Amino acid sequence: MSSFLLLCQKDLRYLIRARGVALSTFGFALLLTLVSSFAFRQVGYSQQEMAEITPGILWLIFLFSGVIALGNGFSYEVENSAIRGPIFSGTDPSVFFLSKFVSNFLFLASLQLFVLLAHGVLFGIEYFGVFGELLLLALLGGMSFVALGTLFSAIAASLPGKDILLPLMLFPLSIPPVAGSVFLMRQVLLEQSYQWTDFWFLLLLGSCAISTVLSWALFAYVVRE
Amino acid sequence: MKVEEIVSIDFLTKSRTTRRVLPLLSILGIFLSLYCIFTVVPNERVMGAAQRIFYFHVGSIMGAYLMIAVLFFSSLAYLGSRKDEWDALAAGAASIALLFCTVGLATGMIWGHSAWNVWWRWEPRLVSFFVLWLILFSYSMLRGFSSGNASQKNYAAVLGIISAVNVPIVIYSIKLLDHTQQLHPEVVEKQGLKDPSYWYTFALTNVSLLLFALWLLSLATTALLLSRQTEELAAGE
Repeated sequence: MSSFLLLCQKDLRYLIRARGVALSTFGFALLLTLVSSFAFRQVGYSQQEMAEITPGILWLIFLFSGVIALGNGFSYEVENSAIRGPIFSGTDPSVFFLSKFVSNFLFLASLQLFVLLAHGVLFGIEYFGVFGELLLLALLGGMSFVALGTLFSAIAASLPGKDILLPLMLFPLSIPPVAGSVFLMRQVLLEQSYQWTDFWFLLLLGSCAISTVLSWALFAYVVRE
Repeated sequence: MKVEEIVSIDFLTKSRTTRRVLPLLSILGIFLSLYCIFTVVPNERVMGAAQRIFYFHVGSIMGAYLMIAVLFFSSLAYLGSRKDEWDALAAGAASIALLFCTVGLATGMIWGHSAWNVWWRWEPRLVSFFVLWLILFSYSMLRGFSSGNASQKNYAAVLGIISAVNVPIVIYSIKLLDHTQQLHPEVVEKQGLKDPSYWYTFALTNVSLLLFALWLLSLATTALLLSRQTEELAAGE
């Protein structure tokens, strides 16, 4: 437990001290918000149509800026072979995975919160009353994305072409949770009636659980060699 | 009891009978099914001749599913036993699965163009199959990028397991979705094949394409194992 806290602390401290990393990721997310506005805002869609489009656009921003953060989170471990420290000191790889997962998740969660707020303000979307639900759905999808992303960033970090390889491996496998999150967010935004036993919610929860457990179980095979 | 003591893939890579029987049976079967598809089976009432692509469409997708199952079990076996041949089998299965998936997508698009008048619909089953194709594509990309890396086989086995586990989620979860959102026909589930000749043509095409997939798998795996042996010999000299 103490090594878990220590490793978490180290990762978070890195994110805070190396200000460029966090700051540039947030800036990149803003840039994506701007670019997404070219796609549809000029046409002047109605509030309803905006609600239809917004979840997909939001997830596009989460995915692209998230994958940069994930890739960064592991490449600094490999650059100076820092990863050998925790592995050789006998830290359980699953503890190592959990600490990486938690610190990555905290970072992505703050990114998602920021993007939701920024997007809502810039596009005038009426989040009033549903913001908590939207954030929860985004975080559930984000959890699955981060679990797989932590595993795949460990794989990609030591390979040539890691920058293209990470999204290539990560995005297709993130489709089930992301699709679930997008469809549920749309239902929330349109204030349609929905149940927590809906197909999309089961898909979101199921793929979230499976990808987290699998990534956690298989992580040892990736870092131990 | 270890994995390699119970099952071995020698019957795929080394057995001479397999090497002769599989190509013979599969090629004979494919020609026989082509004969049945184009001469025996009557024209479908609504779609006409375009329906005849259905047999190869379903058969190649069945072949892809079989190869994904092989990918899953051989990846597990590799992580359990660390034997080279399991890794080679996984690599072969993934490439054949990608090939059969591509054929399934292409035949589906050709059919879609004559039935729906568009090459592609953003319909749940089509999207999920596209995702499956992308998953297999990323696996082959990982193989390519990591060649020469000491941990390549581990990486590939890990991605292979996760990919194969996701296939039932991606493919079968769609069936739970509301039917009003679906466009893809359910021929077999709804017993849409009325004439008995439909059924034996369907079974024959499926079996021969599955055998064809197994033959290609044995070729791909053997080639990979041989090329590794050559590399080892060249490195030893």
